[in-house]
Amino acid sequence: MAPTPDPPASPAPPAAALEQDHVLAALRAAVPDGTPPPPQGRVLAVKLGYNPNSSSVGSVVSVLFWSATAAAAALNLTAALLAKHRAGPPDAPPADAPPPDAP
Amino acid sequence: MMRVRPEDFGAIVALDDPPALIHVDHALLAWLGHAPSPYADAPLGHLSAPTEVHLMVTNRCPAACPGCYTGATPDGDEPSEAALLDTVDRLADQGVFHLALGGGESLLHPALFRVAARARARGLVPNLTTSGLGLTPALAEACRVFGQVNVSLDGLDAAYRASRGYDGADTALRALRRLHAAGVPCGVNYVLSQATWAGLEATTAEVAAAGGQQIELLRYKPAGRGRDGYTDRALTEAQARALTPRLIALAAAHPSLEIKIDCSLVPFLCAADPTPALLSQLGVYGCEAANALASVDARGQATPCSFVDVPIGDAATLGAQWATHPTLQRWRHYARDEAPAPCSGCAYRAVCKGGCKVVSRQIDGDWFAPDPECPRVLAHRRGEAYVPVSPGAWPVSP
Repeated sequence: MAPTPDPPASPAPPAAALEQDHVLAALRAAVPDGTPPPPQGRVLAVKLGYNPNSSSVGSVVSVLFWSATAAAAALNLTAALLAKHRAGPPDAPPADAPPPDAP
Repeated sequence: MMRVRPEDFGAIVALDDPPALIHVDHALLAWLGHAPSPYADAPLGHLSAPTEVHLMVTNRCPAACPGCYTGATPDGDEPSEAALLDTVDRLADQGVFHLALGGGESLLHPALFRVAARARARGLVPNLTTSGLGLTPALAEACRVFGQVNVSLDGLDAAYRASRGYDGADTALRALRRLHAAGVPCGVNYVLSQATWAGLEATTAEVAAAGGQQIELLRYKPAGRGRDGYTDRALTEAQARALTPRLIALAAAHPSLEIKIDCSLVPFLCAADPTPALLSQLGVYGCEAANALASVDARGQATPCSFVDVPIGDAATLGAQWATHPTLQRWRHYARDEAPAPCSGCAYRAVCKGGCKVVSRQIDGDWFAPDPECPRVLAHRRGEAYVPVSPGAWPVSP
């Protein structure tokens, strides 16, 4: 039996609502304005929030709904957050650090 | 606080403020000032340990919900404090980041807060699920030890009764308000079933009004008492297809609320064709049993996930068996190594991992089969071409 017809499409979230997004707001609050991203290496993925649910693993999907730009912003803010947490003086990578384009 | 755990790809960096698990490559790991990952030259092919373990602190509960996935009863199994502390220590030694404490009704265990304190002392972040029964203002204050507390709330009034078998919505909302007042990050776990489907928007509004920061949607699972009458409770195919457009509308209506879905709902999310790479980058994933996730039940037995009733052995051996136990290996590599069509050719295979194996066991009698409620799998079984759900203005559609 074929599925019943899908419901009407949803409207896009208003752009202004992005400013209120809980996840991005938390990231912005944690990163001082102007914090540069790390000069080498990449954030491959970020899983935001805790998972208090004790039965299955949850993923925040609201950021996904805003825009690709918002998703990129989450990754960039995460990289800047790491820069803030970096141990040791800035711009002084360890002597054994691989080159920036290392795999 | 920052914790770093080496992995094949570089490392996982765990932060508490804001809470995040960040996968970084080898170059960024080096720039952060940490030693190279020992797995760079000898890849494991999986995570070195779970990022999160679900620890059932008791299987006692007075509520007797008809769909309880653990089959909890008033006199259910309950591990000793010593056993729980030993498990916490072992998981800390293994490098686990997060501990999700649940039951049964977790608040019934007299040592719950001492177990949480031990987790904190060992660098693990304890989180909690509760029905809210017995959550006094004093206990709400004590809940500050947790990273976050979620209260089970499957709708309001009649919907809650239909789902849980008793009137508990007001109790759950009162618990949420008490947690919020105590400054505890808190939210709600909402089990999506045919009985609760209609009440999602109204419940979300109540959660926001009560101070909840998050609503996490869970797929109804055929485990424990939930196996009885499962097909009468599980979401229909039409409901599965309608989920993503509905979530987008929900996010638009409540932009300050975090909306989460559980691993088993990822096939339904993917029904609307989001960009696979974006899902990976934002940590949206399907079945991570035996990779990012493991579970320890109230008898101290380890399982790949909380819904699996076939243990791999005593929790004390989880660390030693993590890389080599054949059951764990099969669970974590099923999608990569043996998933048949349509999963084998699906663009979301690496994210979704073949869907929920607990549902496959219930419907098809085989843990290792494509999720039989995935819209793509249903179309495949009917011999039809898959027609993606239109999410409307899906902002990240390729």
